[in-house]
Amino acid sequence: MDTCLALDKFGFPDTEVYHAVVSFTELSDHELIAATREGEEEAFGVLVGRYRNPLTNYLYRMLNDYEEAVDLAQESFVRVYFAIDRYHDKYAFSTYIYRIATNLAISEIRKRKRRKLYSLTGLFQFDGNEDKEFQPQDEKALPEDDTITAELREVIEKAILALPEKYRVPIILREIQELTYEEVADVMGLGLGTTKSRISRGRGLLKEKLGQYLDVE
Amino acid sequence: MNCSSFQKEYEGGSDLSAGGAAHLRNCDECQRFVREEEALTGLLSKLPGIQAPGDFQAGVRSRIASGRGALSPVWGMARILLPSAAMLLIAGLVVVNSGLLDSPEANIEPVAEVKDNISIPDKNLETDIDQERSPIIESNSKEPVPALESKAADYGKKVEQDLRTRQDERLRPARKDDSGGVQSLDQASEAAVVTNPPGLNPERVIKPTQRVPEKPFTAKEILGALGVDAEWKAGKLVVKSVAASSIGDMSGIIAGDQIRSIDGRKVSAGTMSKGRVNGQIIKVRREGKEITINIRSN
Repeated sequence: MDTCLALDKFGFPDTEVYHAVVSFTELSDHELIAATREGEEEAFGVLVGRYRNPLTNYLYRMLNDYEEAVDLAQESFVRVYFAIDRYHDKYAFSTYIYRIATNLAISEIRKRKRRKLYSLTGLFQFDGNEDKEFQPQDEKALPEDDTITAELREVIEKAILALPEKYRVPIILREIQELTYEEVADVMGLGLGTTKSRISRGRGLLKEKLGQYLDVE
Repeated sequence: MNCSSFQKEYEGGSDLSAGGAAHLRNCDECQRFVREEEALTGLLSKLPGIQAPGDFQAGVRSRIASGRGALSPVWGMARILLPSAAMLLIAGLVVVNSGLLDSPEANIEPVAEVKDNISIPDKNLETDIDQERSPIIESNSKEPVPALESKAADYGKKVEQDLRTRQDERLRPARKDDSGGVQSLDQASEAAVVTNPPGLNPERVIKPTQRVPEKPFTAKEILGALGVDAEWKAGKLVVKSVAASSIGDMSGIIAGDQIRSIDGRKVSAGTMSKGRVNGQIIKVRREGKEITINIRSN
């Protein structure tokens, strides 16, 4: 644990620091925000540590670009930090930061569309054109299990990226980030009914695209 | 309950009602729907979680630190003023260097101090004029004045001629052309169009340049540029041979290496992003170990 590494000037564990950091990890998100407002930088560090992986994962699934995902995730935290006085605990912090990240991701996607930028990963090419017809690859026997996983992963990722924004955001939040319907609705600023409808429609589109991989017989 | 109501209830995420459960037991279509839904959920759950890099926290701190600097009022003001000052300076230099200050318009001056209330001189002006009545002759003349009265007479004629010419048009500023004559601004602008170099000719249509889209390269092509011949075997990119004394050879790539990534991008049969992939760092698997190879260009 990081907290055990806090040493005083004699090289012994600094109990004051230790207790302070331990207590931060036990605080709720809102309490950490309040502590950050009072100048406790470590509290914000705990908050970043708590959400960096989910946020990076979410943005990666939105953009399929790891560097961009990390960049926007960091930018999300920076925006939270500088607007911390305006933060209102009416919503969950997760909702707040996901909303910031969503806005940044959508902005980036639109920027790419304008520039017709090609974003490539090691696995496949995504040109940001969500209307592009999705063509699943032929199902065939592959020599190794890990290759099958990679192949399948590619197909699933491609199918998600081919979804229009309005379906992609709720699908990733709900199905991959495992937020509740209510949380997804809050992030998107939509009503619960509309959110459920979009998730349902998004799942329908995914089933169309991934039909041959859904073994239901 | 019909199928549509059941599917709506199922997608709602809450437990099925007694009616819903009964419908599911007797409806093949809805049973298939549920199996598809479960299969899709299972498929999506297979996606691996993406982790933030180890220096994520440091990156956030660094950005916050740089953002703090920007929030300083002095720096904030300087950030606005400095670019403006630089722009003004550049604009000034451009104006001075482009010779705009030497343009015909810059030489415009009132025609020999002719005023609206001036009257056409009498025919006998040249005989009546004297030094006191025409001080302008001396002030505008850059040449020595050998015979003042003679100059005055010439001046009188010139003024008379000018004023008669201008009776049919508005009194307007004029410029002295290179030959010492006077032209109107309209004449000057016409002359400017005619004498413009081709690049400045307003009638010349400049076609917008068309950018040729950059062609992304495949991993094999990138490796080929390094003298490395690789081929795909069972989904793996394996080095077949390395040209002697090639960049790949000097960097330490050997036959049998499995290429894992190029510049952090995992290799695939597809193309790789040009601009982001330069073939500078190549990760290979050799004898079960991951090795990072820094490409040496010399």
